[in-house]
Amino acid sequence: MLSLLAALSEHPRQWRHGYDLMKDTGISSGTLYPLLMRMTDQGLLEAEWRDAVQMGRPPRHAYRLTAAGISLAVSVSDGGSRSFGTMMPI
Amino acid sequence: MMTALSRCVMKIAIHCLGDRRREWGLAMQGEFQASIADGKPLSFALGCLWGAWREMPADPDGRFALASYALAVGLVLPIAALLAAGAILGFPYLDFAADDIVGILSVHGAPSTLLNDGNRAAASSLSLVVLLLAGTSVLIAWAMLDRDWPRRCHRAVHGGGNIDPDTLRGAARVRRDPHDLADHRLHRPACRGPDARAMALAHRPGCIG
Repeated sequence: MLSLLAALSEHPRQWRHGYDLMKDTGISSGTLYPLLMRMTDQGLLEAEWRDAVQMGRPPRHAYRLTAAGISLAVSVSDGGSRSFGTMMPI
Repeated sequence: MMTALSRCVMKIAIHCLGDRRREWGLAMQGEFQASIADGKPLSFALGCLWGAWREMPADPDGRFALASYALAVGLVLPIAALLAAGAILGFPYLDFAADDIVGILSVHGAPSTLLNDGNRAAASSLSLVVLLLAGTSVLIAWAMLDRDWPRRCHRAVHGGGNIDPDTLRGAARVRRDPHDLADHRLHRPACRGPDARAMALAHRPGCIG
């Protein structure tokens, strides 16, 4: 969870795909997607559909932190992991 | 082979996510292509399935599906098996001794171990009823898990009333979400916003999935 937040906050305004996040963080898809769902539900993450680069491929979901997500990432990086744990019950 | 198996797992995972998380199912589907390109489609698909299962208890539809499976697999199918075994093998309440199923079902085949003439006379029809009950229990379990009620209703009323399956589907949708009533009346898609865009993009000609 913290690694996902860290990966997303590296370039906060950049849209990231789920599979890229999996590879960056080492989180499995079975853990990543429930996390992404929770974070989106809590307004920490925004998602957008992007057309596939290659023809015939389905569109892909892209994610990036919202302002609330960025402030949470900053608070975590400043040592506020305790408050992070209470905000993100999984 | 691996990719085909992974596709099957992905379909199950997306189905398990249900309508409320449909957009997330499509998101997984989109990333599945990346996992194929990366050579790890099965691990990705199994992970998605695991994630979908973890989400099911949190969703009302998911809880209903889990309860349906528990009821069907844990109760209805065992009852069907017990009934079938009772009719075929004579256990535990249809004690036909050494006679086999063919003998039991034939009127004159019931053996003398039955308690009285009344039981003996009813043995064949009772066995047949129990076998039918076992068979229909399996169908009931199938219907519970299939949950395609519009199709089943359409079949049930076919001939008696010419009801369009789309009308039934629309009615079912309106029952779930009364806010969709206006969309249904105007024959417009019920989904809006990013979900609608995802569905539109995903169903373009040439798209996989």
